[in-house]
Amino acid sequence: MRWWARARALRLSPAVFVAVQLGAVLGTGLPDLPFPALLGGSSLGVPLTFVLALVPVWTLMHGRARVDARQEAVAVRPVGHYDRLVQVVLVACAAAAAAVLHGAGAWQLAWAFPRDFAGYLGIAGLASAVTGARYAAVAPTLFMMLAATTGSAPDGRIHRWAWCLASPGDPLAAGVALALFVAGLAGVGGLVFGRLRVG
Amino acid sequence: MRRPARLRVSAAACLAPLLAAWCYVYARENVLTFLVRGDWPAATGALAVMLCCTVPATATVAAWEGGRHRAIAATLAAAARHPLVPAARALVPAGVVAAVGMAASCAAVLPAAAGGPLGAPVFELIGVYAVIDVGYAAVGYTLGRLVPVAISLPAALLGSFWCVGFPRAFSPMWIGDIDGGRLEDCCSTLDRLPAPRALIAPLLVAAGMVAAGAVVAMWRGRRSWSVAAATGCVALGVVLAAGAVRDADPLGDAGVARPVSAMTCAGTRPTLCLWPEQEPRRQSILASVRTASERLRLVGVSVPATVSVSPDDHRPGRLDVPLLYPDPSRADILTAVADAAVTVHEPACAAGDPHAWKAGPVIGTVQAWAHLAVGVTDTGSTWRQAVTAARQVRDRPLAVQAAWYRANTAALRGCTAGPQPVGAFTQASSGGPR
Repeated sequence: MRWWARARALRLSPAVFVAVQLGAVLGTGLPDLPFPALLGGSSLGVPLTFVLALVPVWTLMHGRARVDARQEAVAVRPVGHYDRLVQVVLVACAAAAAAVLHGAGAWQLAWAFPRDFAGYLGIAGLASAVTGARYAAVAPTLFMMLAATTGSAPDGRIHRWAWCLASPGDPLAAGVALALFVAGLAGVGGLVFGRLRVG
Repeated sequence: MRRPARLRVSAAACLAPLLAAWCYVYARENVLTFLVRGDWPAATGALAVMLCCTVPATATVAAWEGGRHRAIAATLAAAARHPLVPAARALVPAGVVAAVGMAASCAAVLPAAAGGPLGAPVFELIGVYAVIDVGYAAVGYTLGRLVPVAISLPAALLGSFWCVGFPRAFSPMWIGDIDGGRLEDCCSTLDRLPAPRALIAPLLVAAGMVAAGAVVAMWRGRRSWSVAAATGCVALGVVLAAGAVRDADPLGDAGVARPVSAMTCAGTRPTLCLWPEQEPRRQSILASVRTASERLRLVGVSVPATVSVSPDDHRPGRLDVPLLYPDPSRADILTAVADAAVTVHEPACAAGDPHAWKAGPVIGTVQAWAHLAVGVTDTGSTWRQAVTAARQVRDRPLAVQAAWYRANTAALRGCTAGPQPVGAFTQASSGGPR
């Protein structure tokens, strides 16, 4: 397991994760990041939290891209389960931190961070079936940019599909994010897109 | 590397057709729709928004190439070539992507601007867009060289989009001038041209970015120092650019007033000065201006013998009627002439204290009355009270209206008299039949 952790550069991801979550909490006072509206919607101010949740996904995918997936596929140890465990633990940590911060009334956007993190991870997991882990993190990034630039109606309402920008209490958005996360974990991407694999 | 192999390994080959299609459709739907036809600077300036599409694609492709050089440890190789040569060649696919995206955008938008007698896009602006793309390509390549590709690709994608899209949303507004984000607003009307400062600032930033890329590509020592040096280069570029634009008008756009000497004046009663783009419609514009000035004279409003369409033409003896588009409608012209003819500037005695200008509140009524006088039924004024009062004035004989207007204009030029109600003027006091 120690070799696995080193190969994954696993010290990086939790460190980045903690730093990012701290940044998201401390950054609540900062102004929202304005995104230009591209398709006639209204220009959105996206809170830093929604964007920062992407960064740990990049580092996790970097960790998975460092090794040869074909070699690992025949490993004796359940390396795939280790990877899933890390993802579940990080999402659980984010949720626990959110619960504490929300309970303390310290952070209004508390629940948005674990939701977006889990959803982005799910998209990256699904995409990695096609592109390989090395290029998978581009998918949630692109999705976030698309949602931020085209995900709002002219009256400022956020479209349902742009779940990552919904208000933290939106149950549908949370459900979509959770479903994506589970699908990514379960390797649904491999089942659906396995034949398309390019990476 | 042989060309077919280059095509096969580069992300550009996949991305360029997609980007071209996206840019063409997006520019047609979202840039062209809001564009006034026949104004080349406006069309070229509006293309600045397309940087939000081309820059992220360029930076991502460059990061991909940088990642390939990182993977083969390009600097460690015993290279016979100067280290900048492979770096520059790696930027070629990124440049191709940028060029394809910009060409598609131009193809969607610029033909619509054709028909203006100036006859050419503003090539300085297109050059600045190209340089901005190159700058972000250099940063993307550098990122790809320094950071694992799993991180550098999304970081280049999101980061470059951010840098090109966001600064214009910040306050103070000159921040948006630094990287060219506000060039979009530079020249949407005929009386504006892109400001030199708004062109130079993005060039300085791009130069800093290219220098950063060169520093990292050539660095032989510790990598952390190269990062520091590269950051320093970009920071220097930003600081220089900020210095170039900081003194700009905080509320102004990235444009400057077009020299009034570009206008040609012709005709009599009134002599009409038009921008070259409006020249083909001189007869219809002149007819509307003439109608407006005759109707205004009828109610006692004098219109100078020369009418100029630039709001910045403050030469004496001219009426500045801001007609800012190539093809103004008749109602627009009538309204603009009426507004300009009855405009009274705040007198010196009222400076700093709006209450001192006792007659000030009557301005709205005078304007609405002038609109009605030139025959604009929909006065466009949202101030219903003023429109109602103006209609009451319009119901009076023409001589009474003229007396009312003279009295109120005199009151507006000073601070002693208040608004003059129309009831104070009668047929007898002003004389003359209706």
